[in-house]
Amino acid sequence: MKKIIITLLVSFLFGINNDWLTKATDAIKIEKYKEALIYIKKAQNNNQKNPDFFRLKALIYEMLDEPNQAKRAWKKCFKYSKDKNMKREAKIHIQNLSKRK
Amino acid sequence: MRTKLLFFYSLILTSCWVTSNSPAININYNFKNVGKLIIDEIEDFSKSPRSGEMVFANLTHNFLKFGYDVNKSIVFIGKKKDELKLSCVITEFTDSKMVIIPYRHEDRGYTKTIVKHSSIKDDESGKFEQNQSQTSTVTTHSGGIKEGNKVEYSQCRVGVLLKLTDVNTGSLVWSNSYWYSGLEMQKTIEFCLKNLVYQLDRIFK
Repeated sequence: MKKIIITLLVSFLFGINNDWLTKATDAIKIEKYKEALIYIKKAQNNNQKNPDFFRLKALIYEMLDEPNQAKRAWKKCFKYSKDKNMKREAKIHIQNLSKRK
Repeated sequence: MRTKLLFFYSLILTSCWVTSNSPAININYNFKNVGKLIIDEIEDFSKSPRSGEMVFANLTHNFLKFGYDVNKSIVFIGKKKDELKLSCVITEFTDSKMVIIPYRHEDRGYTKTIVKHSSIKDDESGKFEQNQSQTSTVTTHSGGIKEGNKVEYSQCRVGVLLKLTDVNTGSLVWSNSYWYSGLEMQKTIEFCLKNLVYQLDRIFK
């Protein structure tokens, strides 16, 4: 009985987290970036080493004109990514955000 | 000694990082003598109608933002006589490219230890014996990564190649290419060109 309850609880929590990311992307589609950021923050716990997640987070911060937060997210994307192209993209964004007037 | 070596190593790495996107410049040309910058017509990127117009509008907008006087396609740099022609080629103009984020759920595992104590009661004295027996069970769950459903979002990417040519001699004096990505096309163009105008601003001042 305990096992069933634990399994249900885990799947419920897992479902919520996944839902947050879906909600975030839905908010991006209608250009509600502040709202998207709220969902992104909620989904962060389970994506702490996911470079794609940090890339999306950084792009949202850039849309909201928050260069410091964006730079921080790009740095994490660079740190956790193993993909050459993504690393290059992160590097370009970090350089651009460092120069921004 | 080791700290010094580390310092120099990081310095070299940082300089490589900074100069990796640096422009090509004709070192014999004096940019301080430039009076006008004439922006050439920008052609549309293939299958992207009005992309040239959008880039042109953003280019003049960015020059204005950096404090230059702009009249149609002419940017006034200073009071000197030299004129430069600015040509812009759109190398990339991708709108609504779908990117998938693999959603991950990390189960870090656990180690469970159950310790059982038992004491034997001495029948004669009625006291508990000092030698207690202890049993322990260790259960280890290694954990794992579950990949959940995938989510999608749209992304834009804009790339341009800028060239500065001396109007009198026809020689190329400055050139650089750059690309940028973002969630909205308009903002992506703006960020992309802002960086290039920033570089041009630095050579004129």
